[in-house]
Amino acid sequence: MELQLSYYHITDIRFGDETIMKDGVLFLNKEELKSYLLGDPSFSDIEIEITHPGEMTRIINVLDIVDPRKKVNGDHEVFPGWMGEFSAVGSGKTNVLTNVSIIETGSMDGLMGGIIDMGGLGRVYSPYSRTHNVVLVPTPSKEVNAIQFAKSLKMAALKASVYLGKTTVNLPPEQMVSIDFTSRFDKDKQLGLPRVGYVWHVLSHYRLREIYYYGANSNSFYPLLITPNEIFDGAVVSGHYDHSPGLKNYTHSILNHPIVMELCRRHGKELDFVGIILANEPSETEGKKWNALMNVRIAKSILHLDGVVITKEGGGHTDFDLMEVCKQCERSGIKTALIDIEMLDQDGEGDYPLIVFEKEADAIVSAGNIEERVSVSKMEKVMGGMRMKEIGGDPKSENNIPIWLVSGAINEIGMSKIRGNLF
Amino acid sequence: MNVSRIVSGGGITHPFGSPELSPTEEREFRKRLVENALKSLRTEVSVARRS
Amino acid sequence: MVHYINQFFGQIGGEEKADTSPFIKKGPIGPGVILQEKLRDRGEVVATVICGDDYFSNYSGEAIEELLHLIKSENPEILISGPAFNAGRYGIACGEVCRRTSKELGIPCVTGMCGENPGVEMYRKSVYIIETPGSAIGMKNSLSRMIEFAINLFERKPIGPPEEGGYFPRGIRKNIFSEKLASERVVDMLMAKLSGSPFVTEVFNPIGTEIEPASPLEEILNAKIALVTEGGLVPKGNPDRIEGARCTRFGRYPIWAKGNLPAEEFECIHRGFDSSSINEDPNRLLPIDVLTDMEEKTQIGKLFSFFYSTCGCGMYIGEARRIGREIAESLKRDGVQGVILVAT
Repeated sequence: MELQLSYYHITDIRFGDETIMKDGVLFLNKEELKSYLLGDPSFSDIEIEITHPGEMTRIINVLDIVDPRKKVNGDHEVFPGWMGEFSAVGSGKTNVLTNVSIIETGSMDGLMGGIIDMGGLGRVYSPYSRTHNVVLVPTPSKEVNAIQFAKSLKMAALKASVYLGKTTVNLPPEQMVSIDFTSRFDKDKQLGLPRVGYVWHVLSHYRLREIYYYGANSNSFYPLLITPNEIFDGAVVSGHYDHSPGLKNYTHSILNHPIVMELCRRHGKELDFVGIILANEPSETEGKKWNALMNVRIAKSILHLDGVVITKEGGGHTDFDLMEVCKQCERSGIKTALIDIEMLDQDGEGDYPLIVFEKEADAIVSAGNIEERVSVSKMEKVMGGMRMKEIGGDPKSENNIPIWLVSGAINEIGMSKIRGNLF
Repeated sequence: MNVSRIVSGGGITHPFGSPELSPTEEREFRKRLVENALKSLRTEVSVARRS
Repeated sequence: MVHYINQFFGQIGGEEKADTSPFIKKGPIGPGVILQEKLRDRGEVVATVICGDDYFSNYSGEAIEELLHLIKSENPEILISGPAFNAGRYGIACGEVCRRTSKELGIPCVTGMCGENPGVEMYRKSVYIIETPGSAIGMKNSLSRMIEFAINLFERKPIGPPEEGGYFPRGIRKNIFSEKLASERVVDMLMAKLSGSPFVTEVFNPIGTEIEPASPLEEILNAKIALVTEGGLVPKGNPDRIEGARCTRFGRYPIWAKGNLPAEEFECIHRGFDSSSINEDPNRLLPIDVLTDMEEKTQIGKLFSFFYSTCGCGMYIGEARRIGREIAESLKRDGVQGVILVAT
C-alpha cells in the first residue's frame, strides 16, 4: 500500500478575504470558517483566533491539537469516519501543512485542558509554542453536555483541518515522503533484516477519555493490526477531553507519529518494519493480562517479530500493560524497547519512577518526570477562555506549574526531547 | 512493589463490584472476593520476589 | 577558601596521630598547596583545618562542632574537604564536614573520594562528592576537578548531570533536553539490543526496601478486620477536604450499617477513574455489606467500625509512606489485626 505525503511549510498565517495559500503564507477567511463550524448546534458561538511564536500569548484550556491535511486523490478523505465517504484510507496522495496547528479549546465541567505559551519562559517546552496556531474557542450551547460538546469540538477541528488543507491543492510541495508499506507475513518474502514491530497502547476507558479509530470509540476493542499509512491519513484520532495533557497523545502527534515515521524511515535499511498493533489498556487486571497475551501472540505467531517498540498512553496503572507486554515478549524471544514517563515528586525524588517494573524491561527511554515544575512568564494575552481551573487565579499571571500541564511537553509516543536524567 | 498478599478484584472502577451482574450475582461475586482476601490474611507469605 | 584535611595530609603523622583533635593553621598545607596552585589568582586558601580521623570517628558530635567553629572563624566562601580517596573514616569525616558547613554557612562545599568509600553512600545525597581514583596518585587531577566544580557552584553556574560534572549521582531525577527525540532514541535502543551492541537504559526502578510481610492471622473467627482504601470514598461534601489528586490527607469514617444506603451518605472523589460505579453502590469499593453479614454469621471476629480512606491518584511516594505509617499506627491503637487494603 503506497501513500504519498506532500508537505507544505507555512511561514505565517493571517486573516484575509479568502482562504488561500500564497508564497508560503496561509490566509484565512475567518467568517467563512466560522459559519462552516457554527452549523453544529452544540455551539452557540465560536471564536477563531490566530497566534504566532514569540507572542506573549497563553492558550489555555487546550483540549486537542490537529494539523491541516487533505487527501487529493479520488473521493477518499482524511479522518475516515468523520470526513468524506466511509472508506479505508492510506493510499494515494495526502497533503499536509507544517508549521501550523489547529488548537481545540474548551472549558466545561468534566473537561481537562492544558496550556501553550507562545512566549516567555514557558515557550521552550512545547513544540506547539513554535507553530503558528489557529485557536478554536467555541462556546457550548445551553443544553449541551460535555460528551456532546467534545464530539462536536473534535468534528470542528477535523473540519477546520480539511478546510485549511484544501489550500494546498495544485500547489507544489516543499517535500514529499512516500510510505510504501507491505505486511510480509510470508517468510519467503522477508527482507533478511530484523523484523520489527510497534505495540501502540492507547487509553480508552470511557467517553471523554478515549481514542477513535475510523470514527468508532475504542473502549471495547481487542488488539488490531493497523498500517502506518492509515495513521497518517487520520484513522486514529484523540477523544481525550478529560485526561491530563501529559498522559495523552494529541491528534497532531498521532498524525505525525514519530515512532511510526522513524520505523518507516529505517525500513529496508536496518530493519524490516512489519506491523503496528493498536491495543487498548483495559481497566482491570484480568483484562490487561488478556490483552497483553493477545498482543504478544500477534507479535510472535502472526508477525514473527524479532524486536518491538512498546509505548503506553496514560498514568500509573498503564505501566502494568506496558510491562506485561514487555515481559511476555522478552520471554518469548522478542527484544523490546520502551518509552515511559517518570512519576516522581516535583523535586525529582522518589524511589519508584515507574509504578510497575519488570526486570525484563532493560531498555527504557525516558519521557521525563511529569511532576517537575517549570516557570512560566506573565503573559499579555490569553486565548481559550477567561479562566482555567487547573491553574486558578488570573490565567495571564506568571506561575510555577508541573510540566505535564504544558500541552506537548510530555509525550508518551516520543515526540519530545524532554527526558529525565539522574543527578 | 514487593506487596505479598494481592487478590485480583473487579477492576479499577469497582474493585469489589461487577455491575453487569444482577444484584444477587454481584453480591455473590463480592462475597467470594472477600473470602479470598480473608484467606490470604491467614496464609504464610515470604517477601514477594519480582517475577 | 578553607581546606579540611586529616592528620596524615596535615603532615602531623600517620595512624598513631589519628586521635589529633581539631585545630587550624593559616594558609595551605600539604595538598592544600596544590589546591592553591590550581586556584591561581581566583582565590586564596586562607586556612587549613585539620582533625584526626579517629578523633572525628570517636567524638563525632564534639568534633564537628569544634570544626565548624574553626571554619566559621575564617569566614570562607568555599570549603574543600579531602580528597579522601578510599580512606573510609576520612571520607565520612569529609562528608559530614561538608554537609554541616553547607547547611550552617550556606557556602558551596565540595569533597572527593572513590566509589568504594563508605562516605559516598552516606553523603552523596546531601553533598557534592567528586569521583576520584582509589589512591593519592590521583591527587593533582582530583584537586583540579574539585576546585573547578567548587568555583562553578560559587558562581551559581547550572550544574550538569553527574557524567559531565564528575560527581556521584545524588539520587534525584531532573528533566533535561536530549539531542534527539524520544522516538529516535527508542528505535536506536532497540536496534542496539537486536545487534548485540551496548546501550544504556534511561530509566529504571531501583530495588526498593523489602518489607517483611506480617505473619498470617491464626484465627479469623477472633480477628478484628478493618478496611483501608485509596479509592477516595468520603462522606458527601468531603468534610475533611481530601484531595482528589496529589492527596496529602486521610480520613477515618464510620462504616455503614446494614440496611443503610451508603450511596446516600458517601461519594467517591478520586480523579483517576470514572467513579459512577462506586457512587452507585459504595459496597463495590468497600465490601461492608458482605463483611457485616459475615460478622453476624460469626464467620469473622469483628469488622472494625471505622474505615480509613485516602486518595491514591498521583500521590507522591513520600506522602504515601507517611500516610501509610500514620494509618498503621492508628490501626494498632484501634486493636485491628488484619486489614483489607482496597486499591483502584
